[in-house]
Amino acid sequence: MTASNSQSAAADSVEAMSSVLRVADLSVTFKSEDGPVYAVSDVNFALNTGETLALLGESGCGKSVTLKSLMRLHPPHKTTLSGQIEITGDDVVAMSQRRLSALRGKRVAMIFQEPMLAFDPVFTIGQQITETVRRHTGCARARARARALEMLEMVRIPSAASRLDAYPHEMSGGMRQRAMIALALSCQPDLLLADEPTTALDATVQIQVLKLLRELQTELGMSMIIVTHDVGVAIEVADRVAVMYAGRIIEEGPVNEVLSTPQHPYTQGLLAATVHPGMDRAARLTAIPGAPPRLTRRLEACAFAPRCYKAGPECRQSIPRPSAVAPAEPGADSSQLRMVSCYRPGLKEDPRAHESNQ
Amino acid sequence: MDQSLGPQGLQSRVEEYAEQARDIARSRGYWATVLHRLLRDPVSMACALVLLTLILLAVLAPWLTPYNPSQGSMLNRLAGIGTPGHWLGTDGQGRDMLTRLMYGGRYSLVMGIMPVLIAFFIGTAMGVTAGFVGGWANSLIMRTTDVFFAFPAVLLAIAISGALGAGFVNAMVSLTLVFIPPIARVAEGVTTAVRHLDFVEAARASGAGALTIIRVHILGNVLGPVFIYATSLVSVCMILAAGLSFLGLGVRPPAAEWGLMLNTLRQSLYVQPWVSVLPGAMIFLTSLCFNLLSDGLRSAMDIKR
Repeated sequence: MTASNSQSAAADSVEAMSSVLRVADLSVTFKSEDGPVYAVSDVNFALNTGETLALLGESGCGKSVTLKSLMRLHPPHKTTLSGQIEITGDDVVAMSQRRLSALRGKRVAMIFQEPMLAFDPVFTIGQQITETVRRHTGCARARARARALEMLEMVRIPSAASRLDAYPHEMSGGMRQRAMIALALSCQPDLLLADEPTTALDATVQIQVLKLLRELQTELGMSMIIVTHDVGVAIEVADRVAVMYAGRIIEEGPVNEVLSTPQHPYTQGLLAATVHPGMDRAARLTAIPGAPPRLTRRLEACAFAPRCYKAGPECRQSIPRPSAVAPAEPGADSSQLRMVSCYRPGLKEDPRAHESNQ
Repeated sequence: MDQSLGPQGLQSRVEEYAEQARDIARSRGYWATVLHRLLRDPVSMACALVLLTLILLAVLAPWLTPYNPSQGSMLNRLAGIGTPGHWLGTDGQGRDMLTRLMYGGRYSLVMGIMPVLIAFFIGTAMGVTAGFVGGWANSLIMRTTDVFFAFPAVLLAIAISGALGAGFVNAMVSLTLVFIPPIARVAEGVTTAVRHLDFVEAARASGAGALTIIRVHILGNVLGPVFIYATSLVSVCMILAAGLSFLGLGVRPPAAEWGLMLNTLRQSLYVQPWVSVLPGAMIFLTSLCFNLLSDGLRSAMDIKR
């Protein structure tokens, strides 16, 4: 382990486990006309087989950027990628374009947010699945078509045989997203990346698609990373959750623990700003004051400090390192690991308390 | 009256058939569907019929007419329409107009279609390259084509033809050069639009390489619009070709070509006005048919409607 990433306590524990995915000190910087944009900085996480991680955060916090960089989908001439990404032991960062193409869609597959836009309008659903299957298995067209039909039945598209020759615009939104899942799973990937897979769908369809994803994941034994800004989605599908803010993971751990006892003030703020069952209908949601920082400068201090109700002088001087939160029970395995990057972690006493202070 | 044909029964029957029709439409391939829709469009079909007739007349001319297109008879100069033996009259040198119009279609149709077809391939290749590669390649290709846009198409065709010298092949070359820039621009525009859509990224995420993306996803989405645009250029090309011949920069006399015929008959406009406008009428009819067919194709290919 090099000196540069020794700062991260997460990386140490990450190395010990046998995982599908291992991300260490990942930073993604985009070149823009106004100089560099530090979209993702020093991100560490790992994923075991069959595990689901939710990347949670508001728009522009770097969660989608993180997800896409796992497949190196960003345009290479505009992007600087540093750190380590290992998928089933292979280094993605150093991988040749040729091997990268073989990896994409085969071992790692992706589901996009807007299924209407993610399908090519001039080809039928069947053609597009068949194309992917043939790309990775090299099997005959008839065999690939049979596989496409099998996949459409697997995602429970009604009268799948006739849908095989349907164009994307002939299907409803929910059905298209199912077809998208069928496409992504057609080559039995080890890792499924889902970029806000239910954001474009209406509420009733959302829950169906999430349940389907969860079932298929258990059935096929794959790992999954789901990017979402919806706490409800994270609760529904994820085992673990990583909360991102300004390009960094600020809190990570088992989904129930993080969401029931949030340690980072940002996570607390995020949850307070979310509608949840049993809340008083008349009560107003608590907003976090201020706005996220622009990422055109490299941050020197805690990114959340300017908006934080309990920020102190140390928060404005250096970036807090991730540190382990006391494990819920002794001897818990690494997937139970809980991290928070905050100088003053701890439960929030009363949401009203700091409002009256101001 | 049958009970099932009451308002309720009728409605359900209509829905049932609509459902069946949709199933049939879906079981067809894309191009079969386009053809099917084109066949049901009366205007397109009429135009296709006219064009087919013109092509057949041009191809079969030697077997359909007893006259030689360049052999006139001084005794029968400028006969009117309806003259026995020369149903469309004769020109200033006594050559049968019907024969010359049929033979003229050979040059005029080829000069209308071939330059556009060649420009379609070259222009699409340039436009897709510019749009997909972007950056300096885009600047190089598109700024080069911009130079051509500085001149009106007619002037450009005349200038290039003039520089190359008169002749059938040179006229075709100059027309091809005139049509490459607009086709390249359309192809570049569509490619740029398509390149940034999610499905291209989705294809990359499924492991498709750059060549697969160009071949399957870019061309699949670009060829349609560019092809429709190119068919609409055929009429322009025919008129330009006729114009070049009219100016003496295209086909040379005594060959029969509609534009050239229009030029030679210009002198007889006051003697036999109806005979003199015949080549012009042919140019008008052919380009109109190509335009309407292009419109029909556009709506037939827009499968979402």
